Amino acid sequence: MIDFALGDERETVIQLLRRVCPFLAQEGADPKQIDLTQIEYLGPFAVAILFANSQAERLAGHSHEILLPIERPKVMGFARFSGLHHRLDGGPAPDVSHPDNQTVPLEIVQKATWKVANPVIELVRRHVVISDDDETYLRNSVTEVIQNVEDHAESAIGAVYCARFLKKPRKIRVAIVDRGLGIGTTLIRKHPEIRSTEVALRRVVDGGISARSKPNNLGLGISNLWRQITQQLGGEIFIVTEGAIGYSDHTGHLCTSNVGAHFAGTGVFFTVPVVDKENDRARNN
Amino acid sequence: MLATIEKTTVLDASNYIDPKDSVVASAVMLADAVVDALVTREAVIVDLRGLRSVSSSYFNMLLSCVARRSGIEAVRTRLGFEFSSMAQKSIFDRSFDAVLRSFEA
Repeated sequence: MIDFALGDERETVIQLLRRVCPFLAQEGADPKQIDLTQIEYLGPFAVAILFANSQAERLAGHSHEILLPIERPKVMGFARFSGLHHRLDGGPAPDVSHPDNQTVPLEIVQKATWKVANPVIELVRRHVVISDDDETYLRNSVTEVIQNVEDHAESAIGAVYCARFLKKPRKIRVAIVDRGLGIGTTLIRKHPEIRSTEVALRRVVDGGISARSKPNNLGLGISNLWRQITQQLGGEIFIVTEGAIGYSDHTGHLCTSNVGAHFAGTGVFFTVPVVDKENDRARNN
Repeated sequence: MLATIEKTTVLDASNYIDPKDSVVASAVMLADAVVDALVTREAVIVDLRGLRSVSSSYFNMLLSCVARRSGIEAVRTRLGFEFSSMAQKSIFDRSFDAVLRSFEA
């Protein structure tokens, strides 16, 4: 039973992982049922984690069930709009073209194509006019994460992503989760002098180090992502991988700590303030 | 008979993408065209203004492929770029430095 609000704060994601990861890792506990019926809030970060776990459990042949929210209309609404209801229970697919839509419903992607970030950009554009630079950084951030999954993670489920636009204050929240090899595992394989996932996270954010899984890897992806989200777009980011979490506010200063649970994979979660190129500038003048 | 070396050609990067394939596969396609053009031209300009989502892997692959086949000196001195935004250029600059370092190592 999840008996707390599944908001998008870093502490809440850690709390969710501490509750869910040990439970899923238990041997012989099938069917594994996660009860969301009573939750007070549901955000895109939790949706991506829960769905990625569900996909991984299904592929592993485990019996797994998520009981969706039944109490609060807003929470039930987000279970629908985020695609969780559709993906898990076969409910109707969310209508992404609806003018009031504020969500990129759950997507499963296997590789970094030119179109991979389109749903996020289209969602933002539906609400505001963003600058070319902001669009480039936002597009690129999504693409860098998916490229990392494609190149290093060997994730059987690919990458799961989900996003939500918030109107007041205007922000976009994006979650991208895989259930493959974590950053520590892939980096330590190539650089055995790195002793922990926390250190691995620090090194990839600094840049210039890579597992070199593919010829295009030069150790820039996570480092670019970090700079773009924090220093260029003024947002916040955290990455959970295996037992470690790395996070930063808009300054880009990385802090790391132990999650207190082992997450088999990597989750990248960021929130970016969205500047309306036309209206915000007019207001400033 | 010596082939005539013409001066410069411009390659529009947006002509070398497969929207359904990976970003990196497109970089290889463009690199092939750049390498071919460097045989008959003194300089090649790659016009990136038609592209938005250009990740570090795209630039890493493009520059590394050209450097391997035409030489790192060609990348340094005979290859130029037109950018769509400062953001795109900043992503390129980091890749360019990383590729130069990797070939100097």
